[in-house]
Amino acid sequence: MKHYLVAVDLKKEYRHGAIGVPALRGVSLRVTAGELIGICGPSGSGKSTLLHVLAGLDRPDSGRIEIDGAPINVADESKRATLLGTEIGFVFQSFNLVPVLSARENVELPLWPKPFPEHERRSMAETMLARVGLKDRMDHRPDALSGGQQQRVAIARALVGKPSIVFADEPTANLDSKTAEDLLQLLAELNRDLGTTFIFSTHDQKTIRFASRIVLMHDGEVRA
Amino acid sequence: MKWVQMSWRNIWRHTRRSFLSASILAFGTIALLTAIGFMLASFNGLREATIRGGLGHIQVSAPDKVLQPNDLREISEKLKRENRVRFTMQRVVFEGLISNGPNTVAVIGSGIEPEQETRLSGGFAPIVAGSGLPADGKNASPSALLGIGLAAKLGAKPGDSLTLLATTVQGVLNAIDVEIVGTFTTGVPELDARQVLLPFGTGQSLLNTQGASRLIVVLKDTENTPVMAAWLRGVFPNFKVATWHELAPYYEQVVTLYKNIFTVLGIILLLVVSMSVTNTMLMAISERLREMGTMLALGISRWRIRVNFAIEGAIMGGLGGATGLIAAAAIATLMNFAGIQMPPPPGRSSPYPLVIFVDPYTYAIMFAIIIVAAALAAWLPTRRLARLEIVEALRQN
Repeated sequence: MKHYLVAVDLKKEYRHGAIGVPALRGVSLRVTAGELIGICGPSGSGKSTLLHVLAGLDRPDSGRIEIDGAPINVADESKRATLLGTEIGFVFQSFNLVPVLSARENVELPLWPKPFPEHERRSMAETMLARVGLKDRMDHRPDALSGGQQQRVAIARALVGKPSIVFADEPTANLDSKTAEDLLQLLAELNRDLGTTFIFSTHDQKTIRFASRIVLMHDGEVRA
Repeated sequence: MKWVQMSWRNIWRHTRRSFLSASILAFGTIALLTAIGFMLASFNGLREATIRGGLGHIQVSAPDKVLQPNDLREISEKLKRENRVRFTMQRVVFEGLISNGPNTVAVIGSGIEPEQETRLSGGFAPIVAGSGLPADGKNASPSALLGIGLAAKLGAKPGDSLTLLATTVQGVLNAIDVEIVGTFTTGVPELDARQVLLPFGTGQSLLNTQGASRLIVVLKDTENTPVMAAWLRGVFPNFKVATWHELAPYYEQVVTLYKNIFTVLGIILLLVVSMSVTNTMLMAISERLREMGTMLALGISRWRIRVNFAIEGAIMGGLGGATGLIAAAAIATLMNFAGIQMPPPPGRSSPYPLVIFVDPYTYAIMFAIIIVAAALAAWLPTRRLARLEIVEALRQN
């Protein structure tokens, strides 16, 4: 079976003064297109670091990452920006919406640098917002949306460029349990309907059941 | 347009801070435009004072000799048909001696057409004592006006008779007795101590000529000087044609000196004003680091993000600049209307009215400069974004 994402022996260490704190200790991972993977582990186990490194937001100290056969950890700045704008989407724990933009504009934002006509860009954003159940909240700014609605906008923003893979770093951490469940249900639906590969991290055992595969991390290593 | 809209909204995230920056830019614009307006008015005043002080716009003369009557007639006839010419006048000039018997003083003198000179400058040779010169010296007894300094040196007063000596055009000495009809002041003490004015006919008699040393051409508009000078040089290639600009090299020196001084001060003021934008953007960047990290994670280039900050600066410059433009125009109009008198400049004895020009071209240029300066000032602190790590930015609150 052809793997869409391949990570081999990833190592990453953060330095606090003279002390080195290892975050990834030789992590390897193979992901097939269309999977919904949940990375589970306690706080400080290296989940976020792994997602950042896999998404190309951070560079590993050593190891190799390939997305669709192309290495990303050695990609230069402009290639990395292109990859982030086309192949990879990212959902943040704290939503990270731009406060001066409406929900629709936030979703359109990744499309702004691309040569889409304005009406097409608008239509793509509206379709995606409708898909995540926010058809009636498109013109609201983030401060007028609930946490769950903001995270739905963030998911729509991650998906609007039709990426092959979306990383979600503890997407339910700032949500109540009911909203968190609804949101993961939405991720599972999108994974099924759009065929997009999802990798999300969580430390909540209740939410991990939505994953088609679970990767357990502990102390910077994959345990299972 | 989306990016500009985003920058516009970002400006209003901290209304008070943006308002303060825009206000500083506005004050800078007001200061610069007021200074430029005053400088332009001063240059214009100096130019017109130079022209109306006696030079006229163009002077036509014959190399090494006087203009003969037929030359004067031909040139005057041609100039009369030119609608850019207001009028012409003749002048004889000489250097000589004036004596009251015991005292003899070296003088520079002119034989003039008083009515025409008054047309050139309404304030021509303001009379301090006595009366002005008669229109035509040929049909009256020879008369003269003395500068107040010269009159003081000789102890002369209106009604006194003095002897004037000069070299004729033939190269021999000639002396005539003149009656002092009055004293005048040019406002320049050095000139007042040496100058004597005669009616044109009296001047011709002193120099024993029917011609004139030069023909002064006065135009309706100073801007036409180069065109008319070129035309005259083409039509009368054998005569010497000199513009006021060529006859007054100090004008260009003064203008260059003041322009240089102003440019240095202007740049310093612009830098100080721009620092307010740099400071605002530094704070904005520090506060929006996570937002920057998010945008980078969405595939938006660092260049694009940096340009957006420059656009914010440009908008701030536009707001401050526009406010400054309106305020500067209002202030200039009010000050011009107030009729404020400035103290006499060096070498002058009379005050002059404060005038500040409102020049649309200068205003447009200044508006563009303020916008560009503010954009550059906003761009500078974005250098931090060039080396910002995405994960480092995402960790910021």
